[in-house]
Amino acid sequence: MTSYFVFGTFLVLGAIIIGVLMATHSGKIAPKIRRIPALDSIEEAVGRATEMGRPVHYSPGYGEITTSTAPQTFASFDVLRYVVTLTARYNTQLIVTCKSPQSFPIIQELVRETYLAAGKPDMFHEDTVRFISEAQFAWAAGVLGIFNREKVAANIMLGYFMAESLLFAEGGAQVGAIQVAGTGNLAQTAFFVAACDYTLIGEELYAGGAYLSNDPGKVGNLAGQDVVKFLTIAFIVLGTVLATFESNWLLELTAK
Amino acid sequence: MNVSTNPWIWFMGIGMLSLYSFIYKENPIYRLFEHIYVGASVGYTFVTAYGNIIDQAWTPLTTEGKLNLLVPIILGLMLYTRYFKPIAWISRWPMSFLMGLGIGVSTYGLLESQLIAQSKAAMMPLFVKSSEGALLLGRSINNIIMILGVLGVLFYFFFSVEHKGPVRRMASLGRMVMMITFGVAFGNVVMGRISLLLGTISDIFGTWLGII
Repeated sequence: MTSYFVFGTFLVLGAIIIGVLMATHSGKIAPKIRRIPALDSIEEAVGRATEMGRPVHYSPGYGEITTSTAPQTFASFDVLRYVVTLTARYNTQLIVTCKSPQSFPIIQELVRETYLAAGKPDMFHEDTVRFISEAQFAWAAGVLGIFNREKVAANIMLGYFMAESLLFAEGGAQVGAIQVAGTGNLAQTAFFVAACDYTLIGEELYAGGAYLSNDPGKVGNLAGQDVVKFLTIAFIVLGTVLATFESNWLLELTAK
Repeated sequence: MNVSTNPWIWFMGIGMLSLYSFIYKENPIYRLFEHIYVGASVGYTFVTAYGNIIDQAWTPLTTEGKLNLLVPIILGLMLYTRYFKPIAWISRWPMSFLMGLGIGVSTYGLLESQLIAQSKAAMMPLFVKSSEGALLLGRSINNIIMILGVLGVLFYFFFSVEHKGPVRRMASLGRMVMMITFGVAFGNVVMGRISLLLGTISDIFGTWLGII
């Protein structure tokens, strides 16, 4: 069913985000992103793996690129690019494990091109990016095996995760890896908070690309989303005040 | 004791125990079943995908003349050009199509369900009254906590605003609310996992070994 309110909201919020993005890109405004400790810890994790002479493992999660989990998968790609750059800088082996056959070739290209851009094309091997299985727990079993056989020293898991989240986090802890994790799936965030060294909570995952690259376009996008959050707060407060005075005007408006 | 004589039940039981042996440490038996599991799942996926191509694309195209199915078939074939270096760039076209489709399809659903529906759910009266006009204190406190919690969490996710002063206080409240929620989620999922474990125990000691 078409909802004019949803479409109108899409247009308004889209215009706000694009407006702030363009203003940031042109230098009219210069938003600064607050510190996100879990993202700062990625360099520490790669550094530790370098010191130990052991590989870094990266998982973009269970998400696909054609479903509602796509935004989390794309956000993960941004951080993966940063991780590849770090491993290239420190000459540390990277292993990326995939569950989605659709995102597998994209990840392969991303890793290959990032190594090339970093001047280390030889660091990309055919087994740097590994497709394990599309079946959730077969993928989990394969990744746990890799943790142990390859003795990973750092385990970075960012993207959409489901029931495999605790399996991975426990498996990583078993081999003594420093673990950085984050997902937009709040039900699984609990496991990451409990079992990992650093956790990105919910939307912090989406901020990763902007925070790590400081790219004006991405920072502008994030600042635009903050404006949308401010409007959402105002929207909720207005709705609450109206509901308290027994007015359904706003709720009826949203139903149109 | 009524041990099963079905070889597949034995395979299932040994497979379960082998995968559980990972709890102790990684070992050759785990490795064997890990590879059987991964191999079998990839084989299953391949057969399913092949069946889908035949049933949903090839057969309707050749027997019913549905020419529009040529579009996904060609897009699918274009994906394989990545294995031929001179024309590998062609594989980016279907990939871009898939990504665009994913973002387009998810935008409306996410906006509706994650933003508007949840905002509407948070618009609750601060003071709830009964039909007789008496103040319902419990429900009112509940609503106030929920609204403050939602606002606090939204404040926590401000990235371009420094967490200082009132923003910091609201963000701290949001963080606290999220940690309580994670605790509840953790407990709920552990309960669910225990029921899965009971199912596995039932398979091993009931279906396989016939003890229970």
